[in-house]
Amino acid sequence: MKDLAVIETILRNRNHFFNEIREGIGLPEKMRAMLVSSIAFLALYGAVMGSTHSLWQALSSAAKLPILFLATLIVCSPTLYFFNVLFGSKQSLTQNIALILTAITVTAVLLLSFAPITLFFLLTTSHYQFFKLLNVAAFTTAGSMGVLFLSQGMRVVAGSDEEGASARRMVLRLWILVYAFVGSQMAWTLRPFIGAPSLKFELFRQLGGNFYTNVLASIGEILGFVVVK
Amino acid sequence: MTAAEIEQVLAHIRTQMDLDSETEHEVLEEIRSHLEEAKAAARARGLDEQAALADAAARFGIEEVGVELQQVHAGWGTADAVIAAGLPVVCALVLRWLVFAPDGTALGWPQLLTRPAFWVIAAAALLVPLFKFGRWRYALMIWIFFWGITVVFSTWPAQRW
Repeated sequence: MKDLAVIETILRNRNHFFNEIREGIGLPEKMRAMLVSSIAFLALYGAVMGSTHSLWQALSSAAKLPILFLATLIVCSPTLYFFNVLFGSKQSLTQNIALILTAITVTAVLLLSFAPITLFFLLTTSHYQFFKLLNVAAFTTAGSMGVLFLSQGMRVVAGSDEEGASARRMVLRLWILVYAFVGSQMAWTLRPFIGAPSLKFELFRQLGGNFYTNVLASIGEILGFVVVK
Repeated sequence: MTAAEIEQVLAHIRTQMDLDSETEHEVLEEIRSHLEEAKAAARARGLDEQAALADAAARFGIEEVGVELQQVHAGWGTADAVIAAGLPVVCALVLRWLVFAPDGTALGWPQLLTRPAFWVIAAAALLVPLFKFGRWRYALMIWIFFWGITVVFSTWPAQRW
């Protein structure tokens, strides 16, 4: 229940939460709670995604989705820290990671809230491309809200530290683009998460193509322009 | 303790809490009834209004009660929402993998319907949460919905679009 209390504070009283991160109050406990909750929620959503294909795909996606988010966090957080320090930030690496974990937690909670909707379409439709785009939409929406929380958190944690503030805001915007790009490429590397109905279960699919062309091809197939193999 | 004074005490406790409004209301109503009982007990011991107020406040520990209640109830609102979203999904996935073979095919599905074990498990998965988790009524409603459409779309797969 303590872990969920942390989530409730993030959602209901975010300024208080970000102020505690700024003061460094209970950082390890907060980070542990966010990590545990995020892994559980992402695993559940991953299981729903993979359930369109097979039980093995459901289990594989349940394991891979938390890895996707945590691996992206590990890859991207040093960049944010060093660029912030370069422009006068006094935050520690742990505070930076706590803020990114907040964004991941918000994303994970929102994905959990989308899980019944995704499950509904899983049960009522067999259109693979539609299901794939539905998930892209869910991830885009949840991820955008997570990133919004991150930028609010960065503002609160920076507090009255005005030196280099505008440069740090620009760094954050650029970092968000890099984070989205790394995240989508990481997702492409770890795919499949849903599993094409015509293919057998694979833990990882052969590399080739990229996330963006695949999404465009799916939109094309739904609109009747192309057929995705 | 007059009604206005009780309201003042409750307002003081409310400032120390940060819960969802439904839980906050339930908790404060419970405190109100305890305060009124404490007041009646103090009056029965022969104390006047002011002394009864001081006695009830001291017995109740007004200064600490808000903080303690916050600690006890924090997270319950989120837990309700997490259960409402997560429990039906988990139960529906379990039911799905009872219905389908692990490779995702529904080859054994007609045979499954003739097995009493399937119906026992499906009914238990529906009824056990109904009796065990009375607090999570939304989760149960969603679960009943998913239970229904899982059975419908497994029985008539042609209905899927």
